[in-house]
Amino acid sequence: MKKSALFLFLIFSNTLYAKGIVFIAHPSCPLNKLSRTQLKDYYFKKIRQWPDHSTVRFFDRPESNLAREIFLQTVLNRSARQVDNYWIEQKFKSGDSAPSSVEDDLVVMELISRFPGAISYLSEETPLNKQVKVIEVME
Amino acid sequence: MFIIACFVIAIAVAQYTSNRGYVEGLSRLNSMNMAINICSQSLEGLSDSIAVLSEMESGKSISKNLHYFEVNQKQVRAPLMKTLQISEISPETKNLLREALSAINRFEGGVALLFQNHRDRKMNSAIRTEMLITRQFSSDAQEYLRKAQIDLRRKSDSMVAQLYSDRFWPSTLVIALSTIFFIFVMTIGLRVTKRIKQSVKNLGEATDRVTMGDYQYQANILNHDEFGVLTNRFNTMTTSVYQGKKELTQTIERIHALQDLAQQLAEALRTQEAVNIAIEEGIRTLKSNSGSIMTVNPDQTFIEMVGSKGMEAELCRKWKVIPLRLISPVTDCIRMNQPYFFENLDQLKMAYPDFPEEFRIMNIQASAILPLKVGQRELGAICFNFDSTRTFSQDERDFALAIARQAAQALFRTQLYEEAQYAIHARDEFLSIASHELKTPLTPMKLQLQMLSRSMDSENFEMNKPKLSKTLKDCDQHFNRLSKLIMNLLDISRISSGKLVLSPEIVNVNLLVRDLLIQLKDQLHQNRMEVEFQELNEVSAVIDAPRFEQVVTNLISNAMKYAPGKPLKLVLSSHETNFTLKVIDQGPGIERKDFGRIFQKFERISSVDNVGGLGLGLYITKQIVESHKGDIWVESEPGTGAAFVCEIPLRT
Repeated sequence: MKKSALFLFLIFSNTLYAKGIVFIAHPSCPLNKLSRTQLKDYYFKKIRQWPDHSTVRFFDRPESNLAREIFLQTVLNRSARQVDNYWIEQKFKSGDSAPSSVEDDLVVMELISRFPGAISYLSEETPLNKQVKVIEVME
Repeated sequence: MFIIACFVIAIAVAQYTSNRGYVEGLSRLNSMNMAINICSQSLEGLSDSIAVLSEMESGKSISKNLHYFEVNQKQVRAPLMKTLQISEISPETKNLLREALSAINRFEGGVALLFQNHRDRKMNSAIRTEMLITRQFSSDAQEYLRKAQIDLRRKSDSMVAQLYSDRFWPSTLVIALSTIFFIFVMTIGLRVTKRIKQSVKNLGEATDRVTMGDYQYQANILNHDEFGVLTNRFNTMTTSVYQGKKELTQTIERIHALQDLAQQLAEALRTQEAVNIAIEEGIRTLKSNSGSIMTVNPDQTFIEMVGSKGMEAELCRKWKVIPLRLISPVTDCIRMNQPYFFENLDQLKMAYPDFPEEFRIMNIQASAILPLKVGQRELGAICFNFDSTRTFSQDERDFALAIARQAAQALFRTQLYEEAQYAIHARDEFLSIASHELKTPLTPMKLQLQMLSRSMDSENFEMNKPKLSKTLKDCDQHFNRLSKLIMNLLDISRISSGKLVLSPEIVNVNLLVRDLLIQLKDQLHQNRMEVEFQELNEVSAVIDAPRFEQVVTNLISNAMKYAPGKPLKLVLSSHETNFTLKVIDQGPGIERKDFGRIFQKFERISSVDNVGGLGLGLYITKQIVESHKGDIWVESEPGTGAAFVCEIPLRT
């Protein structure tokens, strides 16, 4: 019920940018704001380092997670299948492998707090702990 | 040869270098492939290790899995460490591998911690989170390895492509170099062939021309190769043949010239003719500008220029007669009896610094002076002068000497001929004079005897007695003269047959001369001559008295003949071993050239006919003095009288 309500909301409010998910990073992350393009590049490992040369480590969410659907639609603007194909192709082309997906929101926050340069996204409603930093998404 | 060697070496080096590059490429490719394989193995090993983790997640026995994990990880790490040692792998790839290794390290560290912390516990969310974190490292390592693998593959692909595209490079290089070499060799070969053809043609032409008789032709030297050397030798040969031919021609010409000269000289009877021919032919054949011949007088005291051509008249006069002892080129030549060749003026000036004026007047630059001699007899010298400096080769010297020899023989012959002529003439003259001289006293004697005979018959014999006695006295005088003439002739024949015998004794010469002067007093008186006898010493010598009287009488008679009416002076002196008697008259004197002649048989001092005599007196005198081992000579200047000096040893 909750999920379908969000889904519906997202369908109707897709003009609203990245509504429903929140981006979090390790507190040492040098940036506070990221554009959609930057997010895309970090996700697809086109840019592998933050401006302070620490490695970007993106944690993805499994397909079953609603946040991922929103992420695919609003940020990547691709279907889950397209994203899978992309990573399969990249595995043979450049050796890059897909970011590992983490199911549990708490585990996500735990991982982010453990890896400097880590970044991920959560459902907007998820309560955040103090060990992560919220990144704003610019239009 | 050198160029060919260079080419062969260049081809070999090119082939070697390109092959080596190819082989190196292959070995690098091999290393790459090895590295790719190692990456694949490591990836596979990692997958196995991750599988171990997954098993652990599903709650299987940890301790068993730990052992498997550790062994597996060793197999993963060892080949990766080796890969880092391979030098052919690029630094970027190596960086990736290093990253992978550090990720593996972190992975192993994480796993070890997991095993330590959660050995006996049940799987919970904290452990799962730890596992997730550890898995992050393993996936990092996988990613790095995959990237390295892809990198290596890409590079090896490009290398294969490179090697493939380069596969024809060594053979192409060799073919190109060979082609260049072939073209080079062909070009050089063609040029060499062309040059050889040209050289052979050139030499052929030269041979033809020389065969046609053009000995002066010199073939062009086209190249400085073996043919050039050959051509040069050919030219040298032609030159020497030409030289030889020229010399032969010259020699033949000279032989002809000598033959001509011999023939012309053979026809000459007179000395003057022979002299003129010798000078003219000599000048013509030796190509000289002037020439002259000097002859030595019989007693070898002076030389006389008997003929000349092209010489200054003034010089001819100056050098007409010169004493032999003078230092000059000609006299030296005669005295030394050897030829002199002066090739330039400096040589002449150096040898004879006193004659620059003569050389200048005659414009002499070179000179050849050759002695004229037959056997051991020196006749004189022939002299040729040249306007310009010249060198006398041995051939020319020999030729000049041959001319001189011919001239000398001709001169000797003509001199002999003239002497013979002169002897015949002298004998004829002697016969006529002797018959005349012998007849002269006879005619008056016969007349007087006839008159005497008539007087004996006549009546007034007594009356004519004084006249008769005078006639008898005259007869006696004529008889004496006749007998003296006959005695002289007898002496001559004795001397000629070597039968002049002396009977020496100690004689007071002063007394002898004084007595003789008393005996000749009448004759001297008749010739109106005053005699002064100057006695410087008392002289007593061992001599034949009558013969010495003859000497003194002859000398005084000569003076009476040639200087009648002039005072006569006799000087007697003695030295350590000799005594000297000088008979000094004031007559017409005697020319220098006659000094030797007058002491010869049938010669008279003067050729003037007004003086009688057989021309025997001085000859006999000289023979007597010489048989006393003494000497007699004359000192005179024409016009100032003559002094006959007779020097005889005190003891023979």
